[in-house]
Amino acid sequence: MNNEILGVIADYLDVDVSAVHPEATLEGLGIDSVDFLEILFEIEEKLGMRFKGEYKSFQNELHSIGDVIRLVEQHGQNSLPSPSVEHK
Amino acid sequence: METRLKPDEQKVVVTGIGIVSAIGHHREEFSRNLFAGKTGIRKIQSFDATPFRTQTGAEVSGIDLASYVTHAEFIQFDRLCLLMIAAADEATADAALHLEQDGKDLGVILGTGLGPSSAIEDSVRRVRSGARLRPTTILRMMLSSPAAALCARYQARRESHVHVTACASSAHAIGQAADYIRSGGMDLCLAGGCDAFPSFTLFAAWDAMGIMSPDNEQPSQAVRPFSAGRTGFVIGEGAAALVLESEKRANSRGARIYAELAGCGSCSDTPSLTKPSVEGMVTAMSRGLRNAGLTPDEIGHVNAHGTATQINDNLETRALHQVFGDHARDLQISATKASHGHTMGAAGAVEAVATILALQHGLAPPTLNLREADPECDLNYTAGDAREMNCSAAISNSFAFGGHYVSLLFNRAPAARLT
Repeated sequence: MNNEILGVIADYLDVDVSAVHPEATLEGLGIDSVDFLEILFEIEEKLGMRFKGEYKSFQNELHSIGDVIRLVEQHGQNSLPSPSVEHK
Repeated sequence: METRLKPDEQKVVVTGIGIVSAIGHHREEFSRNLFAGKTGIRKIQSFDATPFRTQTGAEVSGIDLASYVTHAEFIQFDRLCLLMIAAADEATADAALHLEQDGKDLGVILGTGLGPSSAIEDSVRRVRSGARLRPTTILRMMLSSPAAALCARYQARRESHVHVTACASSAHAIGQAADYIRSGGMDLCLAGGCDAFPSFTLFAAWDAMGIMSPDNEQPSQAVRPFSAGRTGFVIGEGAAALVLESEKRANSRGARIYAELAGCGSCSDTPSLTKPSVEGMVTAMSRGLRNAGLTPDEIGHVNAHGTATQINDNLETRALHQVFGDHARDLQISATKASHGHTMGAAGAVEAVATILALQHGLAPPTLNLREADPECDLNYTAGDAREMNCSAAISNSFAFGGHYVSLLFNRAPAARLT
């Protein structure tokens, strides 16, 4: 699952997955407050899980990629209604 | 041909063109297919249209829109933004702008008619199913999102806005940009517009109105402007962008000039939200001629609004008679919606590109599927193949629901400026 999370974040940032490791800080990766929300959304979509609570409530406790991984582990993989397909 | 400008006014020229449509993903491909009489109208691919009276459309396919943007932008932008970016990238490159320096002077004025309908429809579906919305959904839904996206992309800091006047949206945007440049208030502007193919529900709304062609069996022949027995238009999608600048600025950097944007005429008309009027059409064209300082007999080519509805084509013909008098019979008229579909808010810009290319090549695009003209439509609509013409000035009409009428007028550039 960790690799999946790292892959989702690397895809979002358009960077090589090697740049996204547990010690990397969100600030160091250039993740701003909107990116932060979007990345949590992407993780929910791609991993089919849902964080318990609003994304904003996690903002002060997440500083590194490792923190994000731990958050996903805490919240587990809950099944969700399948998301809609976005037209492009 | 010289526009009669006041001493303190600037001449407005077109120095870059970009376009994405169902008949081409860039200017050269669009031009080739337009003059060859190709059509992009097919059976609808983006959703199952079998519940609908009309099952055809002019969708853009075969372009990798993801390749233009970052992954984050691709998932955050609505399709209409991506189409606009593709067209605008072509236009800015075509004009050889140096955006790191030019950005501070660059205005972005666009039009859209339908807006990001897929973003709205996806969101409704998600909310109803209890799913969370993407945090940036509101940015995707904003009607101003195409201009915002281009400003961020090009660091454009002069001024930006988006006009929403149904099928006249991008014609209004181009006219407004021209006014700014002409009056000296702006020197450089990216002007145009975009619309993506409607979402399922929005398409259902258009279908409910019964003004789209129901001739589903032969999509390429569904739209027949000015012909007897015509049955309406088919919706298309696309985006087009013009780089407009003062002639002074273009000359100072040795830019290639495609055409002069000589003038714009517009008006609003209120008898009906849906029914056009000859008066509105005549007023827009007449004001455009005055604004450009052109006389009716100096116009050789018309890109008609030409929706292939019974009412538009009859009234537009009458309006052309009224504005041009005996000269109306000398006009080489083209109705290009049978080629690229009715691109809604993008139509004014898409057809402005068609008009500029017609002047540049001395060739009127064919009006497709016109075998037997409606007796009420008694002008020369370029049936059959593209027709050579010796024409130095042209007019492009956009008449929209809600009584929005816009006519854009272009002068051919001297041949030396096209190289």
